[in-house]
Amino acid sequence: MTASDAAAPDAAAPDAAAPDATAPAGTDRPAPDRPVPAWRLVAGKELGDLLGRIGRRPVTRTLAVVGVFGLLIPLRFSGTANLPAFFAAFTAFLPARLVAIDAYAGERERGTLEALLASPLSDRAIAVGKVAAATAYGVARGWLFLAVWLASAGLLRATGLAPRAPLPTPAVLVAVVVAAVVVAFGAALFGVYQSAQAPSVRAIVESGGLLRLVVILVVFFVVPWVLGLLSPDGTAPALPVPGGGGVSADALVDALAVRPAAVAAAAAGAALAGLGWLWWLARATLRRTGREALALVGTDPDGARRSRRRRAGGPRS
Amino acid sequence: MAVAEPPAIQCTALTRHFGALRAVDGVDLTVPPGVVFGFLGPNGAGKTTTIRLLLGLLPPTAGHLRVLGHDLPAGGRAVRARTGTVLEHHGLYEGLSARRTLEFAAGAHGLGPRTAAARVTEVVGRMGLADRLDDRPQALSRGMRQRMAVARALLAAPDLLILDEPTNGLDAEAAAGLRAAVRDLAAGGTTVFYTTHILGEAERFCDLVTVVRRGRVLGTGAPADLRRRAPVRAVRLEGPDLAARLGLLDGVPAAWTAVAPEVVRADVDGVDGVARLVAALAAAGVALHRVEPEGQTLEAAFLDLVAGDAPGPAT
Repeated sequence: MTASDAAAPDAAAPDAAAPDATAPAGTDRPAPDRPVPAWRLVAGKELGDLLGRIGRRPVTRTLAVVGVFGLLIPLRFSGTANLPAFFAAFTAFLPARLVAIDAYAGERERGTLEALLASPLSDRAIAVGKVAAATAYGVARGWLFLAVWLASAGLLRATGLAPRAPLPTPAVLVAVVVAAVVVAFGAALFGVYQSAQAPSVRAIVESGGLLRLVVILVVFFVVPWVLGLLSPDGTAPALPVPGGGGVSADALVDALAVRPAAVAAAAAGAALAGLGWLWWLARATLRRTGREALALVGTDPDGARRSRRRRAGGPRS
Repeated sequence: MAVAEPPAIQCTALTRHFGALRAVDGVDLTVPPGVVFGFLGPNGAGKTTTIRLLLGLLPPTAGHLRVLGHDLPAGGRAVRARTGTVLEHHGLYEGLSARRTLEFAAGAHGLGPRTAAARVTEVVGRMGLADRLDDRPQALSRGMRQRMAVARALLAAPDLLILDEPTNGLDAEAAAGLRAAVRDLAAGGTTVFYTTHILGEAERFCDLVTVVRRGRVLGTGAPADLRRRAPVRAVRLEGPDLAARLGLLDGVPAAWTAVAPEVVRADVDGVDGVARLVAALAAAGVALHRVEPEGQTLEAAFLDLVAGDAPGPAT
């Protein structure tokens, strides 16, 4: 029997919707044994392997983070009810990134990447599966944070132990549920992009540490602070301007509100720029995760660079 | 008229450079289907790079490569679908049970979940590890992990099985079991591409071998043919009362030692040395029942080939 023969029963499996003239009336026919789509197969493997290696640590860590950033800090600083929402997005970002940077570099270190590349799975299915797994894990962690936070705060309020336990507005809640997906996807895509060409996870962690710190600081602290979500009274701070003095961020928002077209254009521009970046990153990730590019990591940097240039517009196996 | 089957692997002037390093340098190979083909060479000979080329993971820098009827690297995916591989690392995932890893591998070959589960149980049962399927690799011995890796390679009933030093680190019993399993597969028509640097293993196990060094082919043939190319350094002679008769002769053209009254071992310099010795003994009227050159092993042939491969310009 050949491999194609082995796969044949699946390919030739009868369509469940088609009538079976040979089956007696009332007989239950088993559902066809269809192959799992390749990217889902890879994503399932990634998540199973990850959870098998790390065990229950994510749950205990989430509980600790919720306790500190979701309940204690907001209780101490009144008026920061929406602060935990940003930590929910943050808890989607970090796990997605950690899983993503392990996607290829971790497998390379553990010695399993060659066996994966020797399988008939396409380059694209492997890459998409790894991005999907990292995204799903990040989203799950972010949503777990939200769920535990809401449940804890609700319980504290209901029992009267902490009547001022912070709860978000519905609008913020919806925004964070969506933001967790976007943040996790971006982190996953960028992490897989880095992971593909790195010899080890440590190499990624040690590269660009300062830049990463600045990005995290801006996205998760400066932006919420400018929007007034980190201030105790919930108002935006005055932004310093060169030459002294300052302009209130609220005043800036009010000024923009009278020019809705400009605001809409700016928002559309920002959204397009974000989508463009994701599009570029997705294409670059697919190029970096081609088998040839992966097989060259650690062998000859010059050869790898030449290969990447050549493959930029070339066919994929 | 019977039509000859096309080779399972055929490559012409196959070359792969990494910058200035010539990992594979003009290799010509023809591997008929259904044989156990030994690809022998020391560490750094280009064995792993050749495997990557065969699997379509890397394109050759030059030359032509055709595997299972597909030109590479364009047909890489089709080749991988019909090929089972056991690479240097067993490739089992630390976080997954052996069952989950093997079901994933079966799914990657297009089997549905139920078919994959049944196939995994069947193949692992053949390897004698059915009761260890739910263990993670950390709980398995090295030999068991290697057998699991072989089981994974067999899930899709491959036409070509690539084994990269599969007996490394195995005890003698486990290695013998693995070789027996591979032999059965070859008897069933699977072509086996087997890399090793253990020459004794290749001598006993392979139908055909190629010796490579620094990416170049130094010799190809059946192990017995290669052995015969090894230089003869000694010869074992048997004859009636041979030791005593040699002791009475002057000018025997070789240093010799008595192994038994009728058996003598003499040092010679190649086949010509054997001929001179036998001729001299015949001229002296010494009868011989048996003349058996010694030291013609695959290892001796390998060392002779390697010695003849003088280092070229720095690569």
